[in-house]
Amino acid sequence: MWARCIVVLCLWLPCAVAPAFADGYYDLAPQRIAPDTYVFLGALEAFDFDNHGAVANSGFIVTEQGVVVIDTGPSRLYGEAMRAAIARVTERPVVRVYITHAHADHFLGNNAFAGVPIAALPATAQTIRSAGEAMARHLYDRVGAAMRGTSVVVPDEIIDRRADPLVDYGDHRLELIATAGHSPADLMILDRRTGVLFAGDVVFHDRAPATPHGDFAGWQRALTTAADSGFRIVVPGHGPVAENDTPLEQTGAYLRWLAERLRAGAARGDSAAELMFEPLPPRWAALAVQPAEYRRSVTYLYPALEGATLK
Amino acid sequence: MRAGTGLLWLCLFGYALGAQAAGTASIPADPLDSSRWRYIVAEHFRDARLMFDERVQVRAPDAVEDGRATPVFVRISGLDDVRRIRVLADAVAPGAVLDYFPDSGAAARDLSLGFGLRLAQATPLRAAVLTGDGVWHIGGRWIDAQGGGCAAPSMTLPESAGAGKGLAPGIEARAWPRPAGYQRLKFRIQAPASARESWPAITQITISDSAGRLRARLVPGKTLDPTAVFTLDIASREPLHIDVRDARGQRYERGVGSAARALP
Ligand SMILES: [Zn+2]
Repeated sequence: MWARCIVVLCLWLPCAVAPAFADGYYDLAPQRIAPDTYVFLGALEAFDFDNHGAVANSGFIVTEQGVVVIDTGPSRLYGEAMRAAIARVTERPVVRVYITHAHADHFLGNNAFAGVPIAALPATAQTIRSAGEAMARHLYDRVGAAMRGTSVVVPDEIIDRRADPLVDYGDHRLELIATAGHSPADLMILDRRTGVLFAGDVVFHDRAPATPHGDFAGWQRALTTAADSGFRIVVPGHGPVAENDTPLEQTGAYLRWLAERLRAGAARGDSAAELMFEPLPPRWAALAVQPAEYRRSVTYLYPALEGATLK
Repeated sequence: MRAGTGLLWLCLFGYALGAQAAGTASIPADPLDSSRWRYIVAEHFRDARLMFDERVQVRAPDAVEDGRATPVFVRISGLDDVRRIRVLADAVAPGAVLDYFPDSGAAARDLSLGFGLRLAQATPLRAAVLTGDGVWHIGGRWIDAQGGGCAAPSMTLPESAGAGKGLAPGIEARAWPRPAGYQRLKFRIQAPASARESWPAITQITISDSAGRLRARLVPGKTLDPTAVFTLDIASREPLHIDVRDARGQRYERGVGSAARALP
């Protein structure tokens, strides 16, 4: 069921299960959200020297066959802190890592998981292979010393989208859901036993969606797929866990509003940085990382819309 | 900025003390607290009258995004007799990012200017507006290099916004009617994709009306992205003519129809 592809850009040191210095940067306390199911909640912020890049959620599921990890955070030390925290919950080994998508805050902890198969969608592995080093350098600049020892490890198991999406780990049957829209490939993982949906960055909650690589139509389809998955608990890529549709509806409504604001601005002849300073409706101004995230969206998405109005 | 407000004020206070000690108390303390402010004054405003002025607003994203043009918008409201607008980025001194000479004959109290910059680092960005009485009115803001959060940086190097569709350089443009007899002009210069690396610098852009009257003149500096969209508000709804010259002496031109007629 797995196509194999092994590319490791940088070698890591021999595996150290309990790192001595990880705690200095990342104080990771797993929160139990369902039977056997834990998350590490990221800060609702952009990368900085205080949060050490730990701005995304990651998680793990303890199964009879071992521990399944979803996303590895922004750095090797974060990944090592995850392993240490997991070891305080269970003695079982980590048997697989899934990477939801190729953004730096979700996969740069991979080199803390030496010897564990790391699985991702084809485009995710491809992007990490081609742009991972640039993303790591960027994060070094933003968060500094917490990145030490981090190197790019490309996922070595490519998820075959034509294969059976169901994978059993003991009595945890996981459904691998391949979508796109937040990025060119967005993996969601539904645990059919607990109803927990690890939605990756398809879903944001009380934190403005990051849209630099967004495709609005695809993203809305991914949200519909998430809503129709039958989940009971959703773990967003950023923001608090919820037991209802609220984060999905919030993300969808924000993206619809954003698309319309950009379209209307281009039709009016607004300049990009002028549109950035248009006030946000209270509902969207209240999200974390605003207005910075809205302004980033304008920087990335507006030039194409603006250019299309010129002849 | 990430520095706490208290720290900022401490720096301002310290700077003010230092400036007085050096006998340069006539230089107003920089609200942006840039270490390069003294050099900026020496380079551009020696012996000139300066004031920081809320009527000059600089708008730009909070941070540079890797591989992307940083969009900038300058809005000047309620200033009479504007002769010149000089845009400066402390980190890319010496020289100006852009000089804009608006139509000084128009009794324009409101002016807007939009453009894109190729920035790679944090910098104060300033607009200095020279009025007919010889005073420079200055507004500005910091652009931080510490961009990002989820999805940074760009995973692929983006195409330059004006990446060519054809082989010859060209100008794309459009005008929108604005209140009070104004029109908004937007245009961008298209470089052929094959020639982008070797493309000569733009030395001057002029906008004139159908009667041949000069309505605006732009002199780009080195960090300006010549392929990003330029935005100007012109105090006329007459058809306009755009004339671009480059460092090799080449000239590209085009007309833009009346904004009044373009109104749907
Ligand atoms: Zn993401």
